[in-house]
Amino acid sequence: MSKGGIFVLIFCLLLNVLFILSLFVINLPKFETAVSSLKANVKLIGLPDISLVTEARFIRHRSLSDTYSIFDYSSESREVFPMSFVYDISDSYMSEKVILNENN
Amino acid sequence: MKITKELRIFLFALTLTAKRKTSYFIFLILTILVFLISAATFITESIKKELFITHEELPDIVIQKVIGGRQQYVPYSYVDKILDIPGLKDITPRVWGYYYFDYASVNFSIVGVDPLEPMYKKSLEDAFANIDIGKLTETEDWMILGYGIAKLFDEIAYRNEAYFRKPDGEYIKFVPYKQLDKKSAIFNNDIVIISKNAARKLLGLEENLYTDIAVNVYNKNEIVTIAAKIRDRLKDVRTITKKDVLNSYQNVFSYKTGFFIALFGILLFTMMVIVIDKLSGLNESEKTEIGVFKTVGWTTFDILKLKLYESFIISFHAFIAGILIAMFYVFTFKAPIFIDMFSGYSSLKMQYNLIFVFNLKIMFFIFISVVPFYVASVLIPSYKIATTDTYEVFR
Repeated sequence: MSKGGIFVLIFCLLLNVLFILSLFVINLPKFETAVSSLKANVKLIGLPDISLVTEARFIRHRSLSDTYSIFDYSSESREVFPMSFVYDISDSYMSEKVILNENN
Repeated sequence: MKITKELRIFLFALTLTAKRKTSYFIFLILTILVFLISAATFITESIKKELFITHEELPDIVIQKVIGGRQQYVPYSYVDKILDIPGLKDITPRVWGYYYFDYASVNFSIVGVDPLEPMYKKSLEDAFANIDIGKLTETEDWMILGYGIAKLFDEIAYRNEAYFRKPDGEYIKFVPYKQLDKKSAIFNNDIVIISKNAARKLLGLEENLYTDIAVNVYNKNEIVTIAAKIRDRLKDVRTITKKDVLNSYQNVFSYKTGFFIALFGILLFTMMVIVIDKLSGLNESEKTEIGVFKTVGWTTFDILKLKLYESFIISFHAFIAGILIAMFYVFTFKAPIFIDMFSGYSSLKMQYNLIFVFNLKIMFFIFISVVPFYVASVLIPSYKIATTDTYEVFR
C-alpha cells in the first residue's frame, strides 16, 4: 500500500474514533444541571417562549399573544425595525456603537 | 497473517482514493453540505428540546381578558368568581408587561413578583442558591436582571442603579440585586424581575388590575374541563392551556423548519448534479483504468467491489466529518454567524447554552441522501464500462 493509502486509512480511522468519542463527550457534561437551571428560571418567570428576538414585543411570548397581533401596532412600526424601513434608528445605542467601532 | 483478496482490494481502494484529486474535492463538497444541514438541525432541535422540557413548568392555564380582539387588564374580582371551581390548586394574578428601552431599541419583559407569595418565594429560592427573601420585602427598588440586560446595563454604565420611565413621564429608580443564570439566557435574556408594586407603577396599572391570571390545577387530566368551566363563568376571557402553548411552539418550529427544508433542497440538488455528471459517463483515464484491470484478470465483481469501497470511503467519511464539525461548531463554539439567522436583528445578543440533541431521524435522512446516492452514481457507470468488451474500452 502506498503512503497516500496509509494516510487515508489513518485519517478515516481517526475520524470514526473521534466521532464516537465526541458523541459520548458532548452528551455527558452537565446535561441535568443545565435542564434544572432552565426549569427553575422558567418556573420563576412563568412566561412561555424564548427571547431570541427583542426588537418587537409581539414576538416575545407569542404563544400568549395573538398570531396576527403584528397588524395591531402602529404604522410607524418602530419596534419592528428589521422588517420595516419607515424609521431609522440612527439615534439608538447600537448605531452609536457601530459608528464608534468604525472610527477606531 | 495472510492477506485475503478482499483486504487487498480494500487496501488498493485506499491507495486509489489517495491518488485521485477528485476524491479530495468531492470529500470537501460533501463535508460542507452535510455540515450546513446538520448545524441547522442541531440548533433547531436543541432549542426545540429546551422549549419542550421547560413547558412543564409553566402555569396550567393562563386567563386573559379579551375585548374586541385586544387583551385587557383583568380585575381582581375575576379571581373571586372562579375561586370555588373544584380542582384548582392555586390562582395567581400576575403583573407583567413590556418596556421599550428607547436608547438601545430593545423591549424588556417586566415581570412583577411578590416575594411573599408562596409560589414565587419557592421559585426564587430554587433559582438562586442564597437569596435573602427578607431583604426583598423591605424595599421595592430592587430588580433581578436577565443575562442580556445585565450586560447591556453594564455597557451603558447602569451598574449601580437604573432608571425606567413611567407612563406619566416620571422616572423610577431600580437597583440591580441579582442576575439570572447565564446558562438559561435563552429564556431570561430580556427579563427584568421587580416587585409587584413597582411593576404596577412602572407599567401604569391601577389598583386591582392585573395583566392575567395564572391557574394551576391538581389533576392534569382536568385542565381542559377546568378551562371550559372558567370560560363559562367569565364570559369575556380567553384561556391558554399548556397544550395551546405547546401547539404554538410547534407552529413556530414548523415555520423555522422551512429553512431546513430549503437547505435540504440544496443538498439534494447538489447530489443530483453529481449523479447526473457521473452517469453521463466516466472520463477517459477511469475507463482505461477499468480496462487495465480487466486485462490483468480482474472480474467485473472485483472491479465493482473496488469502486464500492472507494466511493463509500469518500462519502461516508465526508458525512462523518460534516457532522463532527457541526457538533463542535454548534455545541463547543456556540455557532457564531449561523445563530444570527435564528435570532434575527437584536441588540441584546445572548450567550447560548444549547443542550445536545442528536436527532437520529434527520441524521438518517442526510445519510440516505448523501452516501447511497454517491455510491450508486459511481457504481452504475463503472458497471457499464466493466461489462463492455475490453477491446472496446481501449479503442
